[in-house]
Amino acid sequence: MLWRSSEDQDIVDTIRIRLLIAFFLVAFVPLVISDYFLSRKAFENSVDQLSESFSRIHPVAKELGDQMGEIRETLSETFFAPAFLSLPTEKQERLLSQIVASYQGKVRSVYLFDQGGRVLLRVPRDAEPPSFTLLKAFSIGKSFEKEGMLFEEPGKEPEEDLLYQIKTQKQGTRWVLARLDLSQFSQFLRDAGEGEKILFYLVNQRGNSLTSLGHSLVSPPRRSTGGIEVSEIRGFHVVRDYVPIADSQLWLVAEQRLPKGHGSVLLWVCVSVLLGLVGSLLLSRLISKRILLLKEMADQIGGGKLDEPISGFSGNDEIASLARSFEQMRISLKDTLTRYDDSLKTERMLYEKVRQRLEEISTLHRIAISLSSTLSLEEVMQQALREMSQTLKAESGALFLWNESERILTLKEAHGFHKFELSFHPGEGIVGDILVANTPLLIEDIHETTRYSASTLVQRNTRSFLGAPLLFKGKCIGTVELHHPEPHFFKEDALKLFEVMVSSLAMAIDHARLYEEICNNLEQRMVELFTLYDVSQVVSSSLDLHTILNRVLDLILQTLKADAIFVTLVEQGDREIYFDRGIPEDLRKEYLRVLSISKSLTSLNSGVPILLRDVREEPEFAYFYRLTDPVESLGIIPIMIEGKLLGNVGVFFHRTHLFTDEEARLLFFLANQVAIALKNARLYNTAVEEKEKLNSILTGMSDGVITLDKQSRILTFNPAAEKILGWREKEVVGEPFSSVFRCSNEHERFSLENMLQAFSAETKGADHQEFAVEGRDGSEKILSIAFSPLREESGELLGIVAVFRDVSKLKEFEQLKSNFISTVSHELRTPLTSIKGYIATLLHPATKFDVTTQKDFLQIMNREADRLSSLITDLLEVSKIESQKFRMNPQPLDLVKMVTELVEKYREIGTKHRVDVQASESLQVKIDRAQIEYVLHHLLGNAVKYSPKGGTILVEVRGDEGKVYVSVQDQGIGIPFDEQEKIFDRFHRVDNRPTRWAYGWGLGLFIARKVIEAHGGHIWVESALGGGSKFTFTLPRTDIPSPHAEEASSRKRRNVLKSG
Amino acid sequence: MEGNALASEKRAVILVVEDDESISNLLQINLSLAGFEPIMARDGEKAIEIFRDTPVELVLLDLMLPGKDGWEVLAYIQEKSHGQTPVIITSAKTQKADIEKGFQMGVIDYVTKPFDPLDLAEKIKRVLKKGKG
Repeated sequence: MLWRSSEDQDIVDTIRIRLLIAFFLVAFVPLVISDYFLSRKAFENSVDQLSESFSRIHPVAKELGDQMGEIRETLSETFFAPAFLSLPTEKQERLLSQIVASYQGKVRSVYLFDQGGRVLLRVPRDAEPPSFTLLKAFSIGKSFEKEGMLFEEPGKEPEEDLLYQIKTQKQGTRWVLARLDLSQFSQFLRDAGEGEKILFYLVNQRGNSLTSLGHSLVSPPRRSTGGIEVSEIRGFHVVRDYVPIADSQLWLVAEQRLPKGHGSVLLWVCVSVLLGLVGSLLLSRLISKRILLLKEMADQIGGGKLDEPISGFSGNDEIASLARSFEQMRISLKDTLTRYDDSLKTERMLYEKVRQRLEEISTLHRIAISLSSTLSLEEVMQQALREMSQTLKAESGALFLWNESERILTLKEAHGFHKFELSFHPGEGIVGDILVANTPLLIEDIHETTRYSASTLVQRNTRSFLGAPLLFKGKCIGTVELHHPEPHFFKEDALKLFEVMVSSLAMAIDHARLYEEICNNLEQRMVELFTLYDVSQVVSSSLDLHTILNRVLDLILQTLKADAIFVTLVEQGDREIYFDRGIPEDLRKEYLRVLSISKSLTSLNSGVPILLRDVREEPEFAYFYRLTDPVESLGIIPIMIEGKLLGNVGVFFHRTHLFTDEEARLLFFLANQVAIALKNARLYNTAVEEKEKLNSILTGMSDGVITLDKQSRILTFNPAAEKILGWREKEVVGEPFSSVFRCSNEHERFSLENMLQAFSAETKGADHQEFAVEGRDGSEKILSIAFSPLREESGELLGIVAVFRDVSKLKEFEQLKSNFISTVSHELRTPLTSIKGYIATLLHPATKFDVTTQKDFLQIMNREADRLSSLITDLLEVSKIESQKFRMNPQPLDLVKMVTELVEKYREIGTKHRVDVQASESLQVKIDRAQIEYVLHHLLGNAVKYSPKGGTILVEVRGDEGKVYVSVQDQGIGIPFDEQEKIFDRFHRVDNRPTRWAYGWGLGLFIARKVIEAHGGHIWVESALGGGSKFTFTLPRTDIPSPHAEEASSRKRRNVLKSG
Repeated sequence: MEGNALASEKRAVILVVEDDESISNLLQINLSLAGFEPIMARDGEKAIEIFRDTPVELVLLDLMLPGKDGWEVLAYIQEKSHGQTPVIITSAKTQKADIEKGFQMGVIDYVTKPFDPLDLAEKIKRVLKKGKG
């Protein structure tokens, strides 16, 4: 254990006290015990005893200290872990007891304190309460780096300054210092018992003390935490060792009190002295003189004058031998003290060095921390300069940085004075010299040098100067200097520390610069990125070329800080400025000329940009510099699409501009964006045109066209589709296909859905297929639907296009046509069968028919041939009507007459029906007789056909103003109401009951309608099922001069024809 | 005509269903000449009535008839005779669909108009002979 000087001092004091006592005894005891009551041996014994008692103190304390050191080590090993805290109290207690026991009474008691100074545990339990108090200040915040020790004696105010200083030092670095409550501190001091010597320590967590203030019995810590304290309390030597455990949350203090021992010796000696005094008077005369002399000598030694030898005692008596003993004692004491003093001095020096070293290290550490706590160059410089100044107690300091481009040193940071604009060239003044010499410089007193004067320094009153270059990787990046008005303030040792600090500062500055550079680069990158993003945004969000170009040009101007810019487009070989900024109207041609320069032509056509830092360097471009507003730098970037030059972007600067790689890249990118925008704009225009074309096709076409998305939901629905299905586009958009195209037939619905689904897999479309689909009104339409997939170039399905048409009419027509063919076929085959059959019969080789039979056969054949011929006539009529070759040959005639004659003829043929005619006298019309006869014939034929045998057929002819009405009424089976219109259509027949009589209708009524309509009339039927039918047609009348005439004539000519 | 008809001892009864008067007569003459005994029916109802009441060895059936049409008559005959009475259709309907339908319904033959009545008589003879043999 290293004993510190203050303690040694105390021990030396103790020794001195004891020496005094010894001398006292030595001086008086021989006088008192003159009668040898107390023998010489006894006296010597007592002296031996005294010196033994005296020498006992020191080794015990020393041994104890050693023991305590061991304990402390054990403790820190055992308990330093916070785990100790989590142990149950009994366990903690047991552990502590073991420690106490293991030192066999040398450690009397152990106390466990918490941070607040509370006693948590006492071992043994019946140990006295501790004789001391641990203050809260023992455990200051974690980051408390400042070493410190506060020592106080009663009756003296605590040193507020120290506390304050610690606080202020920490303020700048955000460290929180646990506050030492001064009022509590003072109270504690007041409460302390009289004569008590109380020690307080302010130690850091590692147990290092801050500074040595005053002297005390405080033992410095060894290498581990805690400390040793030896003090005197109420007649005891108290030795304490305290150890913080569990991260300083607890403090363990071991205490040993030792009886002072020499107190009883003193008492015993005093009693002996008093007793001796009485009997010594007799002897006093004999030896008093020598004794007095000896006393004087002893006094001298007692007073510390060990240099004076004890002499003058001759002879061999007791006193002389005592004097010799004293002399020896003096010499040995002197030796001891000298030795002590020497070792004390060495240790003091050693200590001072260690302390200083620690201080330096801690300063460097602090500087390193403060430098690494920020990356801002300014803060780094500011903090470093402040720390340096404080550490080296400089009055002021300055920091210069080397500006490489201007080759100048500039004042960047000041401490202790206000910063002002100041710069030095290399070699100029002290600062310039340091830079050039590249070595640190210490001027202890500037007045002693001839080379420099204080007037060249930032602080004129400087006497002592410290300066060093900031070197990083062998390069000088600046200088730092510290000043002090006192001469010789800075010495060699300060220079060393300064150098170390400067080198770490240089590194920090370099880091900060690097960081700033990175930040700037990053910022630049961010700006670029934002620019690119912005442009892409605009390009992708707008299709308007003007908007895009505006934005792009703005960005180029902003980012590059260009003065003028243009965008040209190559249209049919001509180059024109399409867009520009900052180009004077009258100079546009001059600017544009840049493109016709041969160098430009070749390089731009191959897609290589031209970037010129100085136009004067290229003779072809030099004219730019001669413009009224000279251009110094320019850049021409091609706008290319698919290897084709679309135009150029030109950037112009009125100052020298060096295009960085980033800028070149940016320009390229922007030109590309312009290219994309151009392409997009062109594509868009084409797309719009195409879309309009397509729209007009879709709107105009008669086929329904719809588009579906991938989920078969309707996207578009063209007008034809609306017309066919009855839905409006807005009603069906977004609806599923199947809810609009509803198939009543389960099978068809299934196949329609299948067809749709097949598209997700197949690439080709599907041919037209027919489906019966319900329209909006519920009517069924037969639709011929074709699907084709809409695909992206990649082949991914976008949707489906369905094209469909309403083939209901066509289907119906086809059905009619088929019916017609079948009917015609039947109608032709029936008479043919008869004809052919009768001929075959007649030709039968085995049979001979008589003439009558033969004639009968021939008549039948003739009739059947007629039937065949009339059918063929009908067919011809139809084909004429159909082929629009229907020609009329109208002639004026009396309709009544014509009808009557026809009926007469009919009757002649012979019929089983009664035909009545009801007609006015005469009705003049202008008609094609043959055609109207055909109609009548047909109507009569039908009437005959559908009337039961013997039924009456009524033919009526009447007229009114402008029209004649002819009707044929039968008593037949009638025609269902819903069929009444259709029977006039071509090939129609009432075929819900395909009976024999139905054949032959179709053509007749169709022809009749065509004929009547061709005459400007109408034909219709009134009928009820089972209630007979009445066919009526009208024709325009030609014989009505006036209503009166008509009336007269009708009265006169009325005639009713009746026939049986 | 009458005399010829009596030439055979037992004349096969043929039901002829035909609405066209001329053809009906033609068939009657020719079948009689060929030694059959034709019974004429001019519409479907009449044909069914006859078939129900009279044993018939073969039926000549037109399809387009007033009232019940030929298909109905055919269905009745096939049901009534359990398909044992041979039926030959004589029709102006020449469409494939009709012919197929006829054979599906079990007719022996489908003769389209116009036909040779003598050939038809021969055909009937063969059918009846085959049926007997």
